[in-house]
Amino acid sequence: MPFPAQVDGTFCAVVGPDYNQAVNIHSPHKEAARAWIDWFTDNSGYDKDNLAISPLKDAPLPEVLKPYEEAGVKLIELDDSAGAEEKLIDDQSEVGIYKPDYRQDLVDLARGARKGSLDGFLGDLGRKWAAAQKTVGS
Amino acid sequence: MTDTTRRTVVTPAVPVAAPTPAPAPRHARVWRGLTPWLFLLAPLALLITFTYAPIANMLAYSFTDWDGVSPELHYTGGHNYTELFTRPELFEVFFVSGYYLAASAVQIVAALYFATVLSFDVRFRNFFKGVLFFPYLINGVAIGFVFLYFFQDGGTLDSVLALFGYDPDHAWLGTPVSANTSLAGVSVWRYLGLNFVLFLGAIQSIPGELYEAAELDGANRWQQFRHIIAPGIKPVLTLTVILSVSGSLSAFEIPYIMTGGATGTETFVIQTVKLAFQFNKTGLASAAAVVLLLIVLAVTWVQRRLVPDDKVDLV
Repeated sequence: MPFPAQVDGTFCAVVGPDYNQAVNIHSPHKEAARAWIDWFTDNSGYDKDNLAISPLKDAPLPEVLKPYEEAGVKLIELDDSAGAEEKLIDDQSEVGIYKPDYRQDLVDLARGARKGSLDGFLGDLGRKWAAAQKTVGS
Repeated sequence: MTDTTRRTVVTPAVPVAAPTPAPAPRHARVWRGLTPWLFLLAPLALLITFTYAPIANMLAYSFTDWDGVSPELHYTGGHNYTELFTRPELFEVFFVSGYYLAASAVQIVAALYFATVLSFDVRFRNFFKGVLFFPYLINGVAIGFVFLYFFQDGGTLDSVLALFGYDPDHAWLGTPVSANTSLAGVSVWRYLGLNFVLFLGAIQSIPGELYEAAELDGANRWQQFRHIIAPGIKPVLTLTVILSVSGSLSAFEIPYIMTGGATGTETFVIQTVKLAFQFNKTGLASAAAVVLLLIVLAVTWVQRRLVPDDKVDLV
């Protein structure tokens, strides 16, 4: 069953992609690569073997998701372009949200091995973020 | 009376000039000039492929804002270099190298002392030489891990100090000063052996009669060092100084493994690596690497001017 929360009376569930496939622009065998992708999508049965939703628009949902169909669940595809921009700002500002560096500095600040105050430290990070936000071409 | 002795007329032998060899045929001369270059072909190819070509590429990248992966490059001119010199946190890491510089001074003095002492007849000479040189052979990452255990609370250093009844309860890697000193100490432990061996080789190339002559003249050990050993090892000494300065500016392995650059132990190369691979700023990191190269070249040039490489004639 989908997550038990409704938005405007409908359940929602997030759909996420598996590995992405593409034909390399520098490939000397573009037709063969395209033929393989077509076979993989249409005929290989990969989606059935993995109980996954087929990438084809007109394909039926797998048997496992029958209860979803009956409950009228709305399938949402997430768009991560905002995530890409966030990573760009993160790199440009050298803040490193997902990296251990600023946390190490924070711990050093807390135990007195580094000069400064918490507000100053976080304010500095915020300033760097804001400056990068302006310059990242969007 | 006629002289009946037969006088052999000795005509002074006219030195017959050896016939000048006919000039070598042209193709033999060409081959003679070409052969050294043919021998050099393989090492030159490797040198160009793995050293000079990447440096040229790095120089090119330092004028762009490339992120290391995208297929397009934007030329930004000297923007990276101005950023390096105007952002204080990027330049403050050079102060950390000061710790390693001071440590290498200690290292050179200690290596010189051990080399002088162990070049004379001392019992267990070879054992001491082995013990001193052994750390240089160990992998840097392994050394980093070993010394993490050495410096942790209740680790080897604390246990040994407790044996002498000294319990400082001090976090060795806790504050910037203490951590940098400890890491510089690890660096000394690791590289002392190399300097020691270089000095030992240089000292042993000094002919032994000089020491005998000096002893006959009544020189003590210190005077022998000052007037015989020191001039004789000048080239090795200048080489070691250059290596020490460039090594302390580019200290990377020990601090990266042991603290990851935290607690104020971030060195210039650690910062360059972080810029390049964590924040995808390959252009800025390339500029930093070029700056480091220029600093080392400048130091070498200054040192060559101050202490030129003249031949020292001891005999």
